[in-house]
Amino acid sequence: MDLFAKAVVAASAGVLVAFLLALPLAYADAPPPGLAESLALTAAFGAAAAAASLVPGLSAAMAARRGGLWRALAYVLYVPAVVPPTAVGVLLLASFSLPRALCQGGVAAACPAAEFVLGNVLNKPLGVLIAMAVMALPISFSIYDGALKEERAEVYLRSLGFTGVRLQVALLRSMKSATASAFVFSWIRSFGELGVLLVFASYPPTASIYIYNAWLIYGVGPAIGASLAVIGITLAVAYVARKWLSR
Amino acid sequence: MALQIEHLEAYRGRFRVYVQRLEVNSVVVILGRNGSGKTTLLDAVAGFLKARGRVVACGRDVSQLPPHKRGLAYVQAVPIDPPGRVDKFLRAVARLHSTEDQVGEVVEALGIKHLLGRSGGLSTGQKQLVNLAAALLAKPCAFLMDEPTSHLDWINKKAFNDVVKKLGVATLYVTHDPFEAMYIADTLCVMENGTLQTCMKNNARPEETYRLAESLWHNYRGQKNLKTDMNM
Repeated sequence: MDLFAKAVVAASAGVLVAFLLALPLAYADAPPPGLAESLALTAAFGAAAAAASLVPGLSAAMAARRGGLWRALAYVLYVPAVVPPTAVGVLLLASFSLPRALCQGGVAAACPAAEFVLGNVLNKPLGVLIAMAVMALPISFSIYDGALKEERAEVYLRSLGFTGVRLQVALLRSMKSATASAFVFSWIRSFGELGVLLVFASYPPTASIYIYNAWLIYGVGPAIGASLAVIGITLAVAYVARKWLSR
Repeated sequence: MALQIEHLEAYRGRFRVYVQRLEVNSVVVILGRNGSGKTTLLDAVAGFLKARGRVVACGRDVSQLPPHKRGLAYVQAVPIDPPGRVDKFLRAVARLHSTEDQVGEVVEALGIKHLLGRSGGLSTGQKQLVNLAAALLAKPCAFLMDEPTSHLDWINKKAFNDVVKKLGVATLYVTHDPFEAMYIADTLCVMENGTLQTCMKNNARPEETYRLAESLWHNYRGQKNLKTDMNM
């Protein structure tokens, strides 16, 4: 490594450590109550969302290999990654609010759906799961897309007669590293998700909502304490995952 | 006739591959440089790339069939990790093709009995042998092999190629290594710019050269019985 590269790495890392750790520490205060609960909720919902994203992510990666219309359809899964999360939240909210609007407009058939959404989705655990799963899809898709390009496992297994669900299961098991990466990095992503959750499902409060509330209600100090706690956990998980995946 | 290709035309982007006629009854090697169209040809024959022309496998026109119905087992350059334990994977493939009674025989022929209980930690050479065993259990009309030894060291490369030669299954084998091509081919074709330039019977058998290289290696390592990592 030459001197220039060393200097750039040292400067970048120094700036990040200063802005994300050293300087905020001057204001840090104890995090407000509810940290453990928010972390546990995020871990549980994040795991469920990450698991739910695996099969659609793999299917999209397989479709993307076909080209043409299938590739275009597969790349729809990337949309949540390239548009502002707040916009995703607003659009989800609008879609799930449609039954209520129809019900109020006199379409009686839409009323049960409106009731279900109000009672089970908006600001409810199912809503959190939907929001996190939508944001996990691009991660799973991109990881499987890369893995299939490199390994061509699908080509081999198909030629042996594997199709449909059997092919999907064989691929998920064969590409263990990709599956583990997709799961772990989708899960870690769930800790940072704010925009969608804030608009669509802010209750029960997950880690990012907890930090946001800490800032609004308790001020900068407790919010910094909460942020540093979340950063510590996600960095530790990312480090362990990276070590494990690169064995 | 195990595999017959007639007037096959396929495109990868703007790159065109065209093969007027090719018959595969033994090990036919297509030798060519990177970008000459070897993989594109195999993808088209296997049905993973749209193509015009005829592909006949075991006397059956499979040109319009999806890859899993063509009876052509396509072994890749990067071997896949067996999904789950090796024996379970082989049995799963065998069940698909009603070849359960042949699992033992195939495992014996490829010398992978000691790998059956393993579900991870296989070397690249071992994985490629397991991939080949599964491909055999699919009872294909022919193998398509896309540089199957490109990630193997030269000892494992020879071990793998020896197995392929011993099996006697019709194989369309692609490589960019002329030495390997001469070693394994019964018929040797050269591909350039998407077309087969020439095909000839291979009379060169460089076993002697391999043997010499092996003995040099033995002397260097001071070992009398060199084992490949496939036998570990």
